[in-house]
Amino acid sequence: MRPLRWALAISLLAALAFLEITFLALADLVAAGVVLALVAGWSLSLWRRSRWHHLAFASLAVMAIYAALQPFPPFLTLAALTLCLAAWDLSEFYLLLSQFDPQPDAETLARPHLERVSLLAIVGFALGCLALLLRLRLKFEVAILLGLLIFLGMAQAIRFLRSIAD
Amino acid sequence: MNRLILLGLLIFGLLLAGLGTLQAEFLALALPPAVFLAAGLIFSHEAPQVYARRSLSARRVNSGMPVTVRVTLTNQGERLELVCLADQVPPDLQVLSGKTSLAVSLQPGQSASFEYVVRARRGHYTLPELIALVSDPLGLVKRTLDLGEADTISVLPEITRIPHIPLHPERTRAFPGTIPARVGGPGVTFFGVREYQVGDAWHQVNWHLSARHMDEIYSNEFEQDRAVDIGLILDSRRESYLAFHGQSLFEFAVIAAAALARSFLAEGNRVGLVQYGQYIAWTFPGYGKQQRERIFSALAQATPGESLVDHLEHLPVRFFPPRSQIVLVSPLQARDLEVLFQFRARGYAVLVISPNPVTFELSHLPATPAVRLASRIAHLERVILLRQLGQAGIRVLDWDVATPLERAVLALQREPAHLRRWV
Repeated sequence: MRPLRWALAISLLAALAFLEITFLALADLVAAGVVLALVAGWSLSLWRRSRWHHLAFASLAVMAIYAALQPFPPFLTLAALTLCLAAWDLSEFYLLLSQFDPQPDAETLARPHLERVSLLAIVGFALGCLALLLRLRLKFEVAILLGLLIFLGMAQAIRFLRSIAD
Repeated sequence: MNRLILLGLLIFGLLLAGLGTLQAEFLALALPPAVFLAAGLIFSHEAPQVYARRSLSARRVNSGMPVTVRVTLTNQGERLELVCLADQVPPDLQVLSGKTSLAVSLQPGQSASFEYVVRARRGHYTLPELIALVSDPLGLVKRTLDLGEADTISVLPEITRIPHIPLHPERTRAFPGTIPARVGGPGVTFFGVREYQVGDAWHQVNWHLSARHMDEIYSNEFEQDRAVDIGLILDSRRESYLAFHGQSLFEFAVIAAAALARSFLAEGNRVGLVQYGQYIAWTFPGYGKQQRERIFSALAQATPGESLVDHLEHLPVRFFPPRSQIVLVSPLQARDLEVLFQFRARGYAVLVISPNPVTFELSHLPATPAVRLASRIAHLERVILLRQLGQAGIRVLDWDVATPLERAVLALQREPAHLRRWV
């Protein structure tokens, strides 16, 4: 589980660093303190094997949205959110594996998972950067279409969750 | 918390924020979580074909014997990135070695297994149904699968061999056994003399008597040994038993009941068992090895309980044939006397095997003057109680549990014959 722990620590620290840079550049010390406290709490919950990482992730996502509202280049925020996402996924995986007896093939389970998460994080970050760089102008019709797609997506997601629950 | 919901809320929140503020940055921020969500949904498994089988080295074991449990998981569908399976071992089962859970990635057709060894004290333990957790590659969509049935492990009580206990109920069965039936016929114990009958063997002829009667020949008659009906009653009322430092007097009562059942059945008798505790558990009378297994199984599950009616009066004695033998295993309470007298009045032969609660408690208490005085008082009360039973023709074995049962029951063999017979 050592690679998993390292990846988790790196992604959390990197996310912390990106958000701290953003908020310190904006001279928002309160937000910087909150982010620091959230990452510390997240790390502590992992150490105690408790499941507070969901709340910590949601709170950090809110902080990232708050950072995006500020007049500051959003690349660092995008990177921080992507890293938070990766850390959240790895935390869940780490806690899941730690529930079980020592597994001889924990490394073989962790390595493909790390590869998948890294790949998705890179793809997500790349797409986000691309979207930021292209700066498409949304017309009203396109916005309506996008809104419709959101609601369709939401309906599909609810349907899917119901099927799982059944 | 469902991760899918959290991720969905984040994405839709960002999209709505982007639409609300008309800032493209929010839409860009929504892309990484959207990629995660899409990957999770695309690679989730619709209906994983996973099967599990649990095998036990033994389902019925003697107390203290280890049982090896092996669980094999087989994937008969598409590749599964992560399958987690944990066997919920009851807390009273002590895991000696091995592991009780598994997290593994399974290729199509691949199997994985884990094995562990458990040991337990007397009891009936249920290993619940196996439930596997199958996850998509990102752990966003998790499915729990119910695999297979629950299994049980019965740990039988310690079974000791005890010597023959002489019993003399008024009524015997027609089948040969070891209990003197007070009826002449084939046997080994001299019973009487009667006139010679055609078919009597020459060695049966009583030559001394025949010599004194010139016209008659007399034959010796022997007492028939027959099987009897024995109703074994195990007192399972919680208030009857003491427990100190994890050791309970009830365990000794169960050991006694198991040893008695084994001995009586081995002698060809018909034995039934009644446990009188939280409820009345009845093992119908029967013969032989199957009945022995039934009784041992019932004793494996026996636990003392709070009885709704804490009086022996409600015992279903009518299940026992009239004038048969009743063997009660109980530390006895003062209020039980009246009920036992009623049994005698109805014609039952009653034998009480009574684990002594006074000596049991005394062995767990410090030897202070107050304890010694209290034990003397309790001992006297018990002596009076047992003496009253003896006066009513009820045989009692006052068993100090520090003495092995096989030695303690020798006292029943040494009883004077007039106490054993016709009571």
